[in-house]
Amino acid sequence: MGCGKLEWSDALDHALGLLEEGPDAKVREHIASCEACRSDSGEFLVLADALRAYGEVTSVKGREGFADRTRSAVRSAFGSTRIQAQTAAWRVANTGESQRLRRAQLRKRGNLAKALRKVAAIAGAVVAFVVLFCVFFGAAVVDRYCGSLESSLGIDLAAWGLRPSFGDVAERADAVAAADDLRALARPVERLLAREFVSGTRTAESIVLLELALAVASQGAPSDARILAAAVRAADDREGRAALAGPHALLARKARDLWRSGDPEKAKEALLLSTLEDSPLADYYSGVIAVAARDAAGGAAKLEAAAAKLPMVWADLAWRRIRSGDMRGARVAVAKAPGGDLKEALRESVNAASTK
Amino acid sequence: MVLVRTRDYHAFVTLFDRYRAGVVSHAARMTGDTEEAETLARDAFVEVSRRASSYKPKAPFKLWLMKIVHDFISDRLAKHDPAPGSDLDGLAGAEPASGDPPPPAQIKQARPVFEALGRLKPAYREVACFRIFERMAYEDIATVTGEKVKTVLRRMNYAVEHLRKDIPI
Repeated sequence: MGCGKLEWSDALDHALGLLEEGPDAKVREHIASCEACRSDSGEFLVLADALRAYGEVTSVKGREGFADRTRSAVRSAFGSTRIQAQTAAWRVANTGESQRLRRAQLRKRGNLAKALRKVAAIAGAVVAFVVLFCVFFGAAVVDRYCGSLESSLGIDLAAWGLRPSFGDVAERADAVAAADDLRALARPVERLLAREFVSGTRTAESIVLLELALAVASQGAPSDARILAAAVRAADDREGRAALAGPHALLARKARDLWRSGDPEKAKEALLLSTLEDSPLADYYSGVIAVAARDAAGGAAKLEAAAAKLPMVWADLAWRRIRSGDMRGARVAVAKAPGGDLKEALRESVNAASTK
Repeated sequence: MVLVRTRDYHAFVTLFDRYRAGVVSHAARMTGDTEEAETLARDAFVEVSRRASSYKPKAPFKLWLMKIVHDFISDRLAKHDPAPGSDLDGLAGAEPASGDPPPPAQIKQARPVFEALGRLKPAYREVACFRIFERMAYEDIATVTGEKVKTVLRRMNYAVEHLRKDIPI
């Protein structure tokens, strides 16, 4: 009121004398020191008088008829040996049947309104939950449930920025300059992988390559981004995936496992990083073949160094020989590769490739 | 109240005589109608006798009683809030709580208040009546109405501001 510092209720309480000494003194002091409130407080004294008058006029105790009816109603209630909880209040209050029915109807309506309010509250809670779920788990919903929707409707959510695309991730990998940039790629690769698992639009080889990319993003150095980019591009490339079949797929998994097991150096060695830029998939295969040769049983270890240096076709051939137990054939392949008779070896390689 | 719990009728009569004026007066100020106020007060006291066995003397009896009265009045006003200024003469003609009937001049002075209170929403009117005429603390009003103290204070401020504007001074 007045200056705005004093509450209306305090001013009236003061005028009516309802405040205790402490708060009342504060109001008094304020009114004494504030011109605006002082002029308003005069009005409050008049208002307080009118309120007092009204209070006195309306201080009634009810007619004796009312008191008698109340006493007798309570006497009946006390006299009754068994009161039904539902109807006792009306019965003892001498309420008429029609009034009782009307009240019961109103109660019923009230119950219906209560039930409707409850249903609305539940519906509201469900909607709120769905909205919150979409806000916090929107990415998971898109990755997990929208793959088939996209293919059936012919839409591309990646174009709308709702999920990462293979191309985007590969481009980001090419631009990686720091370890943090590489780590940041783990999440998009993970999302690509999640979608691949669910949608079934791609092959198991695609998943292997993405898993390799994920391992690189999580554990690699910035210079390893090239491997990640190549793996993601290969996962998206139909021909590259088609070539990654049979034993090659097994070897790709091996490289991935090597990386995951915390031995990136061996994995990198396997991938023949030096030539990755020129022909990533081919060198990738020859690298993992070399690793497989290293791990193969028996005399294969002796062939390890030689096989690792071979171009893809020779490494492939050597590895096949080793795996089939034909150590002699493997040695021949290795021996022939650098400068020997390439013709025969190439023919064998072509034959081997045609039997995949 | 302890005796009422044991269905002692005479104890109830004592209780009724002590509190009937407060209950009827409050109901009258809230409804503006003597008969309605008496009906509500009767229902409230019957309810007191019915609920007596569940009464636990943790809070003052008056608050427990006023809570019951509040429930009945809220229920009644939710269905029908009488037009303001309908029955002040009837109200003034009802059995006064003490002394003689009020003089006409006092009734004339009270009429603007009666009308202004009638124009307030029941929730605001109730807070104002509890505070001004029953002289209840805001915490007790909050207990009775089941609202927060802050809400009660807000309602009281609104009610006072409204009364100040609405009552010609």
